[in-house]
Amino acid sequence: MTGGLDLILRLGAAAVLVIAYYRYLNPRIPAVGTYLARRGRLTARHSVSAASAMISMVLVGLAHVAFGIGLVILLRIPVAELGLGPFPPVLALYGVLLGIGLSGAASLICRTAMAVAESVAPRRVPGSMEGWLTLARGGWMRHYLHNIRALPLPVAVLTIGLQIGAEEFVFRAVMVNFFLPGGALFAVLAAAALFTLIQIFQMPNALSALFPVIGALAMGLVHGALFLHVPYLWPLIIAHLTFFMANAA
Amino acid sequence: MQILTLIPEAGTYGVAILAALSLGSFNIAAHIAARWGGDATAALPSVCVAVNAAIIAFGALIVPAGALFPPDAVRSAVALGAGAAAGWAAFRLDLALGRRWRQRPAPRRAPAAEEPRIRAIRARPLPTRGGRAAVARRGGSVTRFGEAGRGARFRLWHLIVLAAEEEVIFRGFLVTLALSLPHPALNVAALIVTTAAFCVSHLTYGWRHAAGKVPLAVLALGLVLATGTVLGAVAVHVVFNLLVFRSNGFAIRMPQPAAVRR
Repeated sequence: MTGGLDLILRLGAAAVLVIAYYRYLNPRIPAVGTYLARRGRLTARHSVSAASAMISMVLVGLAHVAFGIGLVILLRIPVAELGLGPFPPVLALYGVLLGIGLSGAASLICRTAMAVAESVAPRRVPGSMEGWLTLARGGWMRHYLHNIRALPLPVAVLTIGLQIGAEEFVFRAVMVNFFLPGGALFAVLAAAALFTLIQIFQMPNALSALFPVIGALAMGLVHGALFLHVPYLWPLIIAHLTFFMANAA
Repeated sequence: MQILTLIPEAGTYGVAILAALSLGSFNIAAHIAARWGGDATAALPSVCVAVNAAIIAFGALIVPAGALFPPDAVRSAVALGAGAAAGWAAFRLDLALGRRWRQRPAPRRAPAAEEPRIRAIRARPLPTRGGRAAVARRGGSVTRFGEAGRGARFRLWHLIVLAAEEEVIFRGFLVTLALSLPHPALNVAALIVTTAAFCVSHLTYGWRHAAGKVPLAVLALGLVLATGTVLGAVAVHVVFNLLVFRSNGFAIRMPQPAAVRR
């Protein structure tokens, strides 16, 4: 365990890096994707929006991986602690089951939040499931959905997997290890809080971020705790991908 | 808690998976029915049964059956008897809640573009014994799965099997996991979360239906904690569902054999 000041500094440093990347740098990447889509021939077969989403997804994924590697170097996380080694094959199956389970549990929490919001502030929230889904499909989620619709499924899964894998790498392998001197509970909570925070940055408003925030909170806590107990990253990436495909497909 | 797994890593994952699957069991079934079930409302009850059965099969790999159903004849008999009585009590409490609920003013809602469609679905008439007026006279509307549940029709066998499955999942697996936490405060918090999750998992049918599940959940949980077997909770839920079934006049209309058709 480390002193309180050290933990605050760690949390502050991590928050500054995460906010700088996800709030200010990452949202600029789709503009590059749109530029490349217009320059290339992709717009001949797809709408500009869909073509931009496809290119942006790859660019965002690559930039995300680069950001993660930069964090490992900057925060001095030992490579051996990143959980990138081979893992027991049964955990791949368990990753799929975990993704399905978390999808159901998060769906239960979302359904409850919707019902509470409809009861407490009926004039400020959608009155139907269709309205809620329209809200939830805005922002960054639109890029994912364009990819799933426009690309062949294996290619879509790969491009989305790149982004999702980078998220797991940053918020489990890097952040949980970085916060670990403060204890297991602090590590899981702090990493989950940052993971939840970034969901808000690329959604149009707080209400549309409700579903991603709930999903990220549930996943952040469970995946963080699992990474501490079973330090393999790949099953968590499989679980995250399953979670996403179960909700978006 | 004894965890049945081949490798320790799988054990930790198994516990997390079982907890997540159990909490989200209804929502997983609803997603499957909506996406691949064709007529989602018709498929939902059977999909629920199948999903719950799969979760129970997985859970049996993690939590030994003996922990949920100890082979003790006397304890089982007591649990069954007390469960039947508690099921009746839960039903009466649910009826009383239903009467009070109807006296509440209807919530004011903002008009939305999708509203007419939802109302049209909710307004679908139900096959009720003696008609809707008779149900209202009986103080019914306890559990109109069809009305508030977007038209899902639960047959008798659905209600019995689902009652048993839900108790194994919520009062069996989840309570066992909750009690395995290392601190009494965590045990209590987890039991509250488990009970609340059971109630809100019925929110698809509306707040009235979710609130009506509170007495059932509390009585079933108390019986499990008191007797140490899930058998009593199964009895509570089955009796509750049977009484609800009778109260709502959900007579099963089996198709006539071809020989007697005219």
